[in-house]
Order: sequence, then C-alpha cells, then structure tokens
Amino acid sequence: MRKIAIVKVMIFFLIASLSVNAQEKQPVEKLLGAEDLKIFATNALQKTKELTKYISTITDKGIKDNEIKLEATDLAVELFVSEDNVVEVSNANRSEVIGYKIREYLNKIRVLAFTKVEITFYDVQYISEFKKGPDGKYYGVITFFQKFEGYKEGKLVYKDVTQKNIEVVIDKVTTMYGSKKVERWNVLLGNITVKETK
Amino acid sequence: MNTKYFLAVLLIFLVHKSYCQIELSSEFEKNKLVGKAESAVKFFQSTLTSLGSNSFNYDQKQSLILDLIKNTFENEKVRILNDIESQGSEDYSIDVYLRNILVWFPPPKEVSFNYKIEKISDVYISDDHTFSFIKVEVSRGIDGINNDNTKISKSIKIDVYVKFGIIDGQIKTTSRGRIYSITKHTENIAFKVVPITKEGNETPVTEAIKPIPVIEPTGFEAYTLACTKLNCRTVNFKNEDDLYLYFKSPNAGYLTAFLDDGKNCFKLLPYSLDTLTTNTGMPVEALKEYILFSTEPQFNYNANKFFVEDSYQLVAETKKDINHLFVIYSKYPLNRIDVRNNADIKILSEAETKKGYTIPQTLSSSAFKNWMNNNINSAKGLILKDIEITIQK
Repeated sequence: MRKIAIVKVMIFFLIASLSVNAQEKQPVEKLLGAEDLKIFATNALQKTKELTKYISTITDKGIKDNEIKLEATDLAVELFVSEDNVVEVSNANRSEVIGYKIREYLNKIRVLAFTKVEITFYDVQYISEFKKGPDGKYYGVITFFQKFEGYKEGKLVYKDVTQKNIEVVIDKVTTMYGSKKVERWNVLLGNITVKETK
Repeated sequence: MNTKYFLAVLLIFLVHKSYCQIELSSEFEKNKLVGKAESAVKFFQSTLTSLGSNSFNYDQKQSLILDLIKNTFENEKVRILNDIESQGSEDYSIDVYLRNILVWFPPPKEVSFNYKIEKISDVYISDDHTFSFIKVEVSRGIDGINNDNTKISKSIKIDVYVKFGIIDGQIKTTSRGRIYSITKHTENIAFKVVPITKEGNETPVTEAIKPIPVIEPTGFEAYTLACTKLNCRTVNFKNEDDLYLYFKSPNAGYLTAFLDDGKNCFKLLPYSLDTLTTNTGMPVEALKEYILFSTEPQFNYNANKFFVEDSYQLVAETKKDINHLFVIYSKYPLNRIDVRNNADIKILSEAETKKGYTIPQTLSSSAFKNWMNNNINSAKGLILKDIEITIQK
C-alpha cells in the first residue's frame, strides 16, 4: 500500500512538471514570431541610441570634467554583455579593419583629434533567427548603419557610413506593479563587426 | 482516516490563518506607514533635483547617488521608468537611471525635476504575503537640455511603490519604507488592502509595537558648550552665544533633547531634517564623543555626507534668562519604550499625529512637564538629564 502511494505521488509530480514545462515552452514558440523579432529589433535600436548618447558625452570636447566622460564610458560598457566584446573599426580611406575591446574603443574615441564627433546608428534590422541558449537567453544578430562625422573648428573634416553587424543577447527583466510581476525582454549588445564601409 | 482528515483540515486552517493574520492595529499605524512612504518619495525627488543642478560637483553627486540607493531603495537593481530620455529603454535600474542624469545633462547643462504627490494609497499586502506596500502617485515635470542639445520638457504621472517588510506575521512599522519599483501610472490594478482591526480605539505604539525587555542603562555624560571645543564647557551663556551639546555614553542607544525656555519647549534632537529618526531618537554609538548642533563636517554623524544639522544661538529676553536643556538617553528606540499614549494625554498636536510623530516637536512648558512625568520619568530604560543654563544680556 505504501509503495503504491509513493508511485501515485511520483506520477502526479511527473504530470505536474510536464504541464509546467509545457507552459514554459508556450511563450517560447510565440516568442519566435515576427512580432517578437520586431520588438527585439526595437529594443536593440533603443540600446544603440543609448550608446550614441553616451558616445556624445564621451566625445564632447566642451565637457571639461573627465570624470563624467569616464562615467559615460562605464555606462556604455554596461550596455554590452561583457568587457571582452569587440568593436570593429574601419576607415573610408583604408581597407583595414581593426578590432578593439569595447572600453578600449570608447577610450580611443574620447581622445580623437576632432573637436566634435557625431556617431549615429540607424536602420536597425534583425538578420538572423534568435536562438535560445542553454542559459535561457536568446541570441541573434542585427544589422545597422553607423554614420561617423568628425568636426574640426565647426567644419566637417571626416565622414563615413559603415554597415555593421551586432550580436545581441536578449534577457528578461522584471518590473513590479505593486505585487504583480511583469516580465519584459531586455537587449544586451555583443561584438560589433564591420560589414561594409562607404 | 479521521486523523488524516483532521490533519488536512488543521493544515488548511493554519495556512489560512497565516495568510489572514497580517493586519494593522490602528489608523495611526497606517498613517505612520503612509508618512514613511511619503518621506521616501520626497527624499528621492529632492536628490533628483540635486543631481540635475550645477550646485553640486561630480563627486558630491556620486555620494548623493550612493546615499539615496542605500537609504531609500530596496537595492541598486530596482527598475525605474525612463522619463528622462525619449529615445532610451523603457526602464532602467535605479543605479543606471541616476548615473544617466549625470552624463546626459553634463555641466553647464542642468535638468530640473518638479513633483507633486497626487495620491497615496492604502497599505496593501503582496499576493504571497511576504511584504506590504504603498503606491504613491506622483505628477512629475522634467525640464532641461540634454547632451544632444535637445530640450526635454515633459510632464508625466508615475507610480512609486514603497515596500515594508513583514516579520513574524507583522508589518514592520518601525523600519523605513524602501522604494522597489517606479512605473508609469497605471489605474485599475486591484491590490489587497491590509485591514485595520481596532480603528478608533487605538493606543499608538503600545498596541502596535510590542514593548521589549528593558535593560537599565548605566548613565551618560552630557554638558553644554559655547563653542565646539571642550574647554568651552559652560552653563552660563551670554546673549547671542552659540549653543552646543557634548554627549558620550557607555552604551549605544538613542538620544533626544528638548530646550525649555519656561514658556515653551522645543525639540532639538533628533535634528529636524533627519526624518528617519524622528520617532526613535538620534542613534548614538557606545563611547563615541558627540558634539551636537554644529554644522561643521567633522560633527556630521548622519549617513548622508551632505546632511545639514540644526544650529542654535541663545537669545536672552530678560536680563538673565533661565532655560533647561533636557537630554534623554534611551537604550532602545524611543518609540519602542515610550509606551504611553501621547495622543491621549494631548501632547501631540493634530498635525504631529497626522504626520505620524510619536515624540512631540514643540509644546508648552507645562505640557512638556506633564509628558515627562507621565512618560519619561516613569519609563524604564531611559535616563533624563536636566541641564539648567542661564543667558545673560
């Protein structure tokens, strides 16, 4: 009698866990729909715009307090999965592509010889299916265009447009409305590679 | 079978009881929590104002951020609605949100935050009964020019959620409220209201907080000074002399002080801006020397680096005034020892009661003596020192 009871309990938990797994999987199927990919691209665009804003502060020669620029660098690095992420840099005047770790890249643009630098990202689109990693996060690649404009004494002296790919990682963040939890997707940036420079 | 059935019923009953027993014992307790939630929101808003202003340098702003997160937020990962930049993410962690203010509005740019508390909710209980919370609805205006030279000017309504812990089935009414979420204003979310069990007949403090076993403190050293040096010790002051208080105790505890000029009595400690210790007394460490009523940085004992103390200058109305400085040391937070009902003996004004004060802020000398006789002199765990001072014209 005792054994039967245990088996019954085990069957119950097995069924319960299967049903929980099924519930967990349901949103995953939905997640891979075109609407979700659009949301990911929008989130990725938001992150690239945030990166642009940090870069504005980092490259602003009018800001004399270096601490603020270093703070902006820290915040920009926090947009990435890790400090080890690489940003590839190209130049319209040479074919060579050089890769810098994200902090190194930001430090480099902080001390560029321009009096003003404007870096903008646009036309952000996803180009690959997002795949779920073993850590429960989603991984994919998006493409965007980067416009770089360097000014000296108010005059535009250098400009290029580069098409770049960026790896993105999508994780969940939870917002509390009182005691109700609302989960949303949050995009973290990964390696940025050069596709083409004009 | 009967035993099993009984155990099952008992289990259901116990689970049900543990879920039902969270309640507030009085309207007064509720008001106290509401006051704490309001203070948390005000502290947050005032820090935003400082972060957006050029009156503080970068290092000071960093200290303000650390101080705010440590004292007012649940942790640095609390999600907060992005209302400072239209292009960014929907929300940020509080840590990133505050740092963004520094880097997106770098000097000489500034950003101002105006706010108005529109509504403060009842005290709610979370679905899993692990914490209680209050929703504060705030109208906020933001005005500034960011690092892209874009003018940011908007009004938004936000909901600030302030959390209070639950320990042993009771809401911790003595602890500070912690902000754990800030979202865009949302109507029509139904939350469970914490019931008030004894409305109208409450005896604040006694019913709400269990008195704790009292250990008699051994004594303390306190004397008045006319300057912040110890050789300025005096009880005979001249007109317009500064007043300072030296304090040292062998035990850690809580300090309260009043000045009685013969007509009225004024609370001098805890400091008026230290809203977190209003009802407990100012926390003091064992064997630490305190010089009080000085605004010099070395005599700032507050966690907030930029805290501003109350300072006093003595003024004589007659040729020779006699005042009394009452220094009260308590081994435990005063609101846990002071077990009398201050509202009943008419010590607290209506405004003070409404704000959740349990220690009177200002009152007539006779009312103060009544309060002392009823509460302080008879309470265990308290030591009162009466320092008579003179002020000569």
